[in-house]
Amino acid sequence: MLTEAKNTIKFISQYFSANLQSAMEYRGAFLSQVLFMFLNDLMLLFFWWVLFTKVESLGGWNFQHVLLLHAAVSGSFAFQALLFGGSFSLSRTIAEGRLDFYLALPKPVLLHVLVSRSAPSAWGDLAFGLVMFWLAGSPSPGRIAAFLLLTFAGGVVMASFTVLAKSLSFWLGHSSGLADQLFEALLSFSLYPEGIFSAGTRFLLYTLIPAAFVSYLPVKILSEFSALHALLLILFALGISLLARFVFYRGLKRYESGNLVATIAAD
Amino acid sequence: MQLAGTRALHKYLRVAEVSLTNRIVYVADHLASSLFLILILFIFSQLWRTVLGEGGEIAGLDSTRMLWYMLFTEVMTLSTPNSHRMVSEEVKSGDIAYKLVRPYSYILYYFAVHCGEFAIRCLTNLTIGAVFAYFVMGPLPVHWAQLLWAALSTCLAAAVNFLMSFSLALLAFWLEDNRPFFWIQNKMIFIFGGLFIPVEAYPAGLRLVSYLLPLRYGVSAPARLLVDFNLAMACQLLTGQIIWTALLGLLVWAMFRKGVRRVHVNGG
Amino acid sequence: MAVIEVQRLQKVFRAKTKEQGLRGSLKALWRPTYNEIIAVKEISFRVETGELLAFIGPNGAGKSTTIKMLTGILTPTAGTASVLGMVPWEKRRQLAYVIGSVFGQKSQLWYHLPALDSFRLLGSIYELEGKTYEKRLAQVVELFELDEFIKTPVRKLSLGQRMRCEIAASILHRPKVIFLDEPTIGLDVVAKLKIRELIKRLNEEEKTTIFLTSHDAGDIEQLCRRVIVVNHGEMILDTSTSYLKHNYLTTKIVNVRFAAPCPDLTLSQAEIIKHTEKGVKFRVDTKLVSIENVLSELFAQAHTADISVEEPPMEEIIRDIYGRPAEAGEQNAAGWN
Repeated sequence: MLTEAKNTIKFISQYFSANLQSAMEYRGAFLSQVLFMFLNDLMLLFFWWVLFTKVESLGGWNFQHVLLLHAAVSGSFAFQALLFGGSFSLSRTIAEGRLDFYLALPKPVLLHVLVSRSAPSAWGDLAFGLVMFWLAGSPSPGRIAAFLLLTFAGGVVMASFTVLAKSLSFWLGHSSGLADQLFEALLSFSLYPEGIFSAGTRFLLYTLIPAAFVSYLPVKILSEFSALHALLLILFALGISLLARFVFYRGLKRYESGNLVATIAAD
Repeated sequence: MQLAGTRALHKYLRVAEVSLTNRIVYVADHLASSLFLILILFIFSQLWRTVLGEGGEIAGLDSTRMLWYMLFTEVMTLSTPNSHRMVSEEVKSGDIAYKLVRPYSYILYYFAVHCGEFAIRCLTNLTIGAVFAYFVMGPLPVHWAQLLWAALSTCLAAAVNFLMSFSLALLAFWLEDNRPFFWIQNKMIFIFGGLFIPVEAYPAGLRLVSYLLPLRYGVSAPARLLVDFNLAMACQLLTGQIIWTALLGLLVWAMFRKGVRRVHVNGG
Repeated sequence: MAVIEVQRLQKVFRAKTKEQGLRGSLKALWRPTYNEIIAVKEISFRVETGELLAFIGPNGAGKSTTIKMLTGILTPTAGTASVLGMVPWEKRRQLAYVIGSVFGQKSQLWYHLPALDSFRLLGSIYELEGKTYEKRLAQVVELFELDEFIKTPVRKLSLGQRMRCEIAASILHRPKVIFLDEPTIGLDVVAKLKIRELIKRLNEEEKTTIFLTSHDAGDIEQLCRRVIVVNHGEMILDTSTSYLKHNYLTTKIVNVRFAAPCPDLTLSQAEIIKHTEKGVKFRVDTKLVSIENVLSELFAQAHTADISVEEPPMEEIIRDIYGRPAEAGEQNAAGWN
């Protein structure tokens, strides 16, 4: 069990460094992508800056909290894009039969598909997240480590959500549109303070569209540590990743049985 | 001479019509952008309710009006077509040369394409968004005169948007990669266009810059007229739109003339 | 009355040269150096009303550049030209109303809509009135046999069908001259034959002057009455197709598949290109040798299962023309017979 875990980590890190190296081949393009993404994320804060000149707090959160919020979302997204970048094109991979490539190889299919791609621009998101945390999170080595850990969990949640949404392609053909809308919703909700939402909406955000685990909980934990919140986050991350894995492999069975061909042809 | 003029107009109206028809094929795309609109409206309805509560206002607008304001600015932004990308490609690849031997003006042709596509996207987004806003926030009290002013303002806004994007697309005559400019334009619309909040509510320095740029005339002018109308402001906004349309039109015309000369010398 | 008149037309392109890397880019910005590419050296010719003329040559010979100058897209570096009495690059917009053009891969039709919608739009663009347009549409549909698929979205059409629509679109406004740049490129044999037939019909029935470029020898043989051959930006031959056929297009390439293995084979009057147990490919100059003789020699030695005859590629024909300077020079000045 331990060796399997070690091997898995080795596998992931090998792909990770291979992806990074190939991105660094084009040094200029890489740096400009990173810079653009950083600036892009910065722009989103503009609205909040203006708003907080008019308002003191929003559902108990002030500008500092919002900075932390953005830092958490950027960090989570960065982990998903850097480590599990293959999640974004999963619909197409399934619909175009490219899973065959992975099926023929001796590594777990889902993991392989996820780590095989990495979006280099996400380094800009990560940089942004760290800088914002530095500005708003009263950083210390311990807290930075906590930040990275929490956003890693957030990244796992985002990646799992993406896998769940895109696995619909196993049954519905190329349904990337719907999955993209769902992801868009997750991302959007994560960027706004929990406090503005009604109870009903909040329930949704702790379950079906788990924005809470992407950003709200990390912010809460970093503002005022609560073991309960931390445990909740870790359990949810574990749970949703197992669920994603389950659904994906169910769909994979359908794929292997050749039923998918009929779906593609009808599309 | 008169007949030739109407025939020319007819020509471009037809182009707009075909562009509109062509767009209907992309129904799925439409729905996607409408879904996004609803998502944003939902989030902001919650936001403004929380921030402004029962009686609060920003720039004289209560929470209901703020949400309707956002509906209109978002509709404007989401409905603006991307034909500038096609233009960039044509210029870069030299294919523009083939369009130049047709009996129409390249600029007017693309303006007609822009308008046709904009019209249908605007209609779809506006309808869906308005229904949603009505149910979530309640109705927006408007006078029919406001609608007329807003309609006129929307047409001018479409022209301003077209000219801004077109001028950036024409940069492809001289620059290998003009994409960064589109990104910058996008972000500037975000900030100086008054997408979320009317620029009147901005802190002083930012407000000044926004007043100097044409962006708000392309994004928030019609919205402003619909949520908070007074005659003086209406005249001011429309005058601003007309002036910027003229200025940008001149810029585009000059850039095009210069750029096309290069085509005639260099081919592709 | 000449519809096209070209005198010593020349086009030289100046392309910026750039060294590799960032340093090269900066250098190019500061002190640019240029490469001169002579696309068209000095071309002169006349085309009369109703001619069906092919402008042929290998890739990069200057065909497309010449057409671009004649349609007003490019301005030449030197020389003059007039199309229907107008200088193309000066009166581009006016010329557009009286000429038609189809540029191989560039489409005039809207991809997602039926060709009919694009035709209607073109009708407006060329300012054709209601009844006039309807009548003309009917004529064009009949001429190009478009009835079957004119209401199908363009993206669902085969390349051959699309090309028919493109050419039909280019003649809606009854142009006196049409320029077809590589109209049969990418088409299969059947589609090519169809397009050639339709172009010929167009020329015969409407007396439209047709100026086409190609690097397919079949286009010339079956379609055009006159041929101008260009290579490296220069006219090397301006003659009738029959003259070309009898003097230059005489080489055929024959592919034979044997019914039974034939390892030994001699063909005294043909040049064997490739010979295996299963078949043979050889070249025959029908001007020097009777193909019947060659074939009877072949049949005497091998059992044939399948046989096909091809034109040699354009590059070979051009090389052949080039390789006979005396005769080429003879024809150049005189025009065509």
